[in-house]
This record gives sequence, C-alpha cells and structure tokens, in this order.
Amino acid sequence: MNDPFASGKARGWRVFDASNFERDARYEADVAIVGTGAGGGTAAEILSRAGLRVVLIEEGPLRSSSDFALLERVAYPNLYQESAARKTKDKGINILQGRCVGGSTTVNWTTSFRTPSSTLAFWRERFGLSDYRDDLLAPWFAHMERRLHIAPWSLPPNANNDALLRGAQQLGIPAGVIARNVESCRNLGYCGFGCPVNAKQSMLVTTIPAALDRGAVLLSRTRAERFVTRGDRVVELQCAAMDARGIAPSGRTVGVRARHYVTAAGAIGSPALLLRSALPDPFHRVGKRTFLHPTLISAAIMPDPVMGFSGAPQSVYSDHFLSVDPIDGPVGFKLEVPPLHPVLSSTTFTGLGEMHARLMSQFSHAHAMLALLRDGFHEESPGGTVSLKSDGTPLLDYALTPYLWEGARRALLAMAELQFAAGAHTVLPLHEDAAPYATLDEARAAISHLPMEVLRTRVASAHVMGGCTMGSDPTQSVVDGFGRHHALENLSVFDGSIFPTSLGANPQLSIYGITARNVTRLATSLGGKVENDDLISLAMIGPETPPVIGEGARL
Amino acid sequence: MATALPDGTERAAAIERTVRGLDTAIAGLTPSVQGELAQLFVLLRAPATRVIATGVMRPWHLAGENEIERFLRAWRFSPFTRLRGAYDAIHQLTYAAWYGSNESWSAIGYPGPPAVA
Repeated sequence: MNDPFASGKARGWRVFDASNFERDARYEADVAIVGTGAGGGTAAEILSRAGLRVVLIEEGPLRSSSDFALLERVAYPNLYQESAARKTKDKGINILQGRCVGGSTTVNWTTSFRTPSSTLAFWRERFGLSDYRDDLLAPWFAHMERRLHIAPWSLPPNANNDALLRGAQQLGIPAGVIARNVESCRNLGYCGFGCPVNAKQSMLVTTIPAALDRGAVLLSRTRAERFVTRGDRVVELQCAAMDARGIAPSGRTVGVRARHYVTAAGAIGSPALLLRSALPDPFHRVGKRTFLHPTLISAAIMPDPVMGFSGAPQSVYSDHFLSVDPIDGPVGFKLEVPPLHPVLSSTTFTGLGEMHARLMSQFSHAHAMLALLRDGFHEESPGGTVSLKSDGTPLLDYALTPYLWEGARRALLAMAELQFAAGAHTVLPLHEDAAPYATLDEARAAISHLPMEVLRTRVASAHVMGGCTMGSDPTQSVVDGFGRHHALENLSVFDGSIFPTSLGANPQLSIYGITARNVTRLATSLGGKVENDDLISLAMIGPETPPVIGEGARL
Repeated sequence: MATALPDGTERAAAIERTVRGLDTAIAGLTPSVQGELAQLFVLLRAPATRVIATGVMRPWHLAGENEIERFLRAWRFSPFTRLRGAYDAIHQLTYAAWYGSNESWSAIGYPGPPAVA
C-alpha cells in the first residue's frame, strides 16, 4: 500500500515534526493556518493552488496509512483529543475529536451531508447571514463533493445499519442512504482508526498532499499558543513545539509570520486560541454558543449476528424526528448508528460486573443506535462555553437543560421502538438506572421514569460546533459570514466554530463547502490566482461587493 | 470485572496486563486530567479518606469483592456529580484497559482487525 507521506517526503515535501527541533524555529508565509482538519485542509489546498505560500500548524502527530494498525489502544492515544476521552467540565459528555494531521477527517466515519436547508433558513433569519442560501452554497458543496468523491454508499448497509433501516421500514418512518467520502473503499469498518488503504478521502490524503506538492510547509506536534497583535493586525503567531509523546511542550518555540492568519483548530481549539491571545472581544462572544449534537445511545441484542465492527460504519440515517416539530420547537434529533468496537462499546455501555460481562459476551450480536439532538435553535438551548484552564488548555462547560433532557427521553423511546421493530431480543437504553428490556412495553414504562440527569444518562458527542460564531451583528458574533474576524483585519476563522447553531447533520461537508467559499474570497483578496472563474464570482457575492447574483449563480 | 477474569495463574497475568493498560491510557491524557486522576488515587489510597469516601474498611488488597462492588455502586448512584464522574472515570479506564487487549477478544467473539494487504 502506497503511503502518500512516505512518497511525498521522498519528493521533497516540507514536513517537519517539531518534537525533533533542537532549537527555536521561525517561518514566514503568505498565510499561516492553525489546524489541519476539514477547514485547515480545504483552505491549504485552495490557497496553495492560488500560488500563495502556506504554513500549516498541527498540534497532533503526523500518522499515515502505514501507521494505522486498526487497534483502538493505538488509535485513541495517537489520533484523538485527550485519548478519545475528552470531557465537558462536569464530565457529563464524552467528546470524540481528532488530534492529528487531517484532524477529525482522519478518524471520522465519512458521513457527508450538505447543510440542511432549514438550518440555513434559521441562520438567515436570526443571524443576518443573508448569503447562506441553498442556491448560493450548492455549487460549493458540489465542488467539494467532486473533490472528495462524496457519493451515496452503493453497497448494502452492514447489519448494524440495516437494523435502523428495517426498524424505520416497519414503522413507516423515512430513512435514507448516507453519502461517504471514499474511493475504492474496502468496506472494512475501521474508519475511526485511520484508513489503512487510503480509501477515505480525508484531508490527510487529498488537500494536504495537494498543498504540500505546491510547496506548503507542514509542522506537526506544534501547538499554536497565541496571536500577537499590533493595532488591528496580527503580526505573529507564537507556537510551542510539543514533546515526542505530544502531551507537553518541549521548551522549543516556533514563530510564524504571515500576511494573513487562519484559525481552523476546531470548535474547542479555535475559541481557546482566541482567548489565549486576548484578542478584542468587547461583547464577550468568544467561546459562547458552543454546540455538540448531544447524542443519546440505545443498545440492543439482535437474534442474528450483527458484527457491528465490520462494514461501513454509517450508511443509513433517518431525519424523521428532525421534521416532526418546527426547528425552534421541541428539540429534534437525527438517527444514525455507531460502529461497535470492543473499547468504544465496553466503555460506553453502562453497568458493572455481571451485567456488563453478560452484555459484552453478546458483543457480536450487539447493535446500537444514536440520536443526535439538534441543539442551538431554542432559547433553552444556548450551548456551552469554552474557557481556559490554568494551564491555558480549553475547557468546555456544557449544561444539559430541561429542554434537552425532554428530547433525550423522547429519543430513547423512539430508538427502543425502532430496535424492537427491527427484531431486537432486548433493548438497553444507555442509562445507569436502565436494564435490558425484553418488550417495548417494558422499555417504554422504564424510559418514561428514568431520571434524566448528567452522569446517569449516557451522553456523547462527535460534533463540536460554534464558539467563534458568525453573524452580521458584531455585538452578537465573532466573525462575519466570510469567517473574517470583526476586529482584526488579517485573521479568519475557517472551521465548525463559525456555525451559530448546531447543524442537525454531521458537519464535515458543511465545513468543506463553507470554507471553500470563504477561502476562495480570501485567496482573491490576497492577490492569489484562483483557477475556477465560476467559483470566484460566487465567492464575491456578499457584503461589500455589488450584487451579481444573477450572473454569479451559473455553474 | 471478576466474571470476565480467567482463573488460576492466568488471572494474575490478566490483572497485570490490565493495570499496565491503565498506565498507558492515563499517560495519553492531558497533564490537567492526569492531575485530577492523581487526586482521585490519593483519596483512594490514604486509609482515612478511603474509609470516608468509599466505605471500604480494609486495605484494597484485603478488600472483598462485595465491599468493592458496594463502593462502586454507591459512587455510581451518588447524589454528587463529582462521585458519579469519578465512578465513570474508573469504569472507562478499566474497561478500556481490559478490552483494548487482544487477550480479551475471544471471550466476546471479536475476531480482531482484518488483515490489510
């Protein structure tokens, strides 16, 4: 199997692991990008193709296909934030987030949705984002879908996904096939540990290699500490080289000077970087409105083997429960399934001793379903707040409100009903007070009385959004609709942190498409030569330019 | 955990392996989370705080299975979120260390990762 980084380095790619640095280092570029995930990767390729010099800064390690051992005990400490055990302040929500070159795109489950129309309508209406229209964004999504081979999964779903499909069909609930960013996928089911065959079209194998081919510099194990400003401009990015284990700074520093600076460190990392930099924030918006798609989980034992570790992890979804109520009514939820591997399953399954051992002894017959709550669309769902611990690392305080708990209970009920409809022997809502239930009536009676409390109800998240939210009103937001910082003229935010609500869909394609739009405009403003004229004219639609919608929307 | 453990000499080896897995897992956490866990282990180790916080009267190596189960149950269903969080940390670390190891897989019918050519 070709390892793109092995062959790229042989061709002269400028890729450096700062943990090896024996002295302090300095770099200069047109654009310095913090973070190499969906936002940073997309930005790096478009800026490099436009002829601009780019430096990419990544706190995590560079790991590529030849390193991907498909073992949880290797993947979690190497590729995830806080060994895949990142928690909210009260420990109530476990957050899965990537921390490696490629960011979460290296370890995600490849699920790709465009930003839902109803979400965009809410953004236009509530946050003044008048250009966030389906017709204006569709070409950007289409562009990135082509770039990353995003297409509906064409093989049959694995048994774990098929249970969601069967349950939905039995109950007459609409369900659909998920689009995935893969090429020549072998249907292994190990996407969460890094794709060993480079089938997943993550940033690691697409945009980052394209940028490196055009002379971009990649610094791994480099933590962006702070932006230094003078007047309304950033003049330097100060970074710390990390030690070989990536846990603590090594003592070496890395300074980066650029004409323009981009933070794409994710919806916890970007607000934390802005807070450490003490940038102007007169209305205290940085770190606010951080959303998680708080996720409820229902496990079930099926009569036939499920082998939830094998096959494309996510291929079926249902948006039925997102459309029952208005978007600003009782919280809606998206239904999907998670892959089931021994560590992730055993740590997520509730219970101890005998009950837990019995559950794990039926591991090959285990199915699980996820309900992702669409947070941020109601006044009782204001999101969490990112602040800094005493050592400068981020901490997310996210309160699960009664509004969200009401949805959590509804979600556990809905999932139990779907799982029994799919033929489940027993259903176990993941809650400390719950037990495996053999009938729907039994499950219903129990779920309606389960205390909905933090660290009793199992809640997880794999989607962090918000914290540097965009909007037309600088008193209510951190950046404008193009990701440009309201106060600093040469700083942009290109990641999921700009979303002013959650999405109601897995975020990667929203980040790709919206970043492509915003960075194309940036590239042009920096004098870069963007190749695709149609996309340039689209990127120029918006505030401060004459409206050319009629012409620009062609493609 | 007891029901998942093998008997005899394999038992000691399995426990040793799991403890080493715990060390590895903790080494991968951030310094601030390692600090929180260190506080938890100090509390569990000192006899006075052990008795107050867990109700386990005897030193850990002499404590009975029932006694340990009672303590975990008390923390799991505690009215204090901090104790529930500590229980969850023990739950997560222990099961991650146990099921991260190849030796635990045959008992649950997990074949291990596929060979990739």
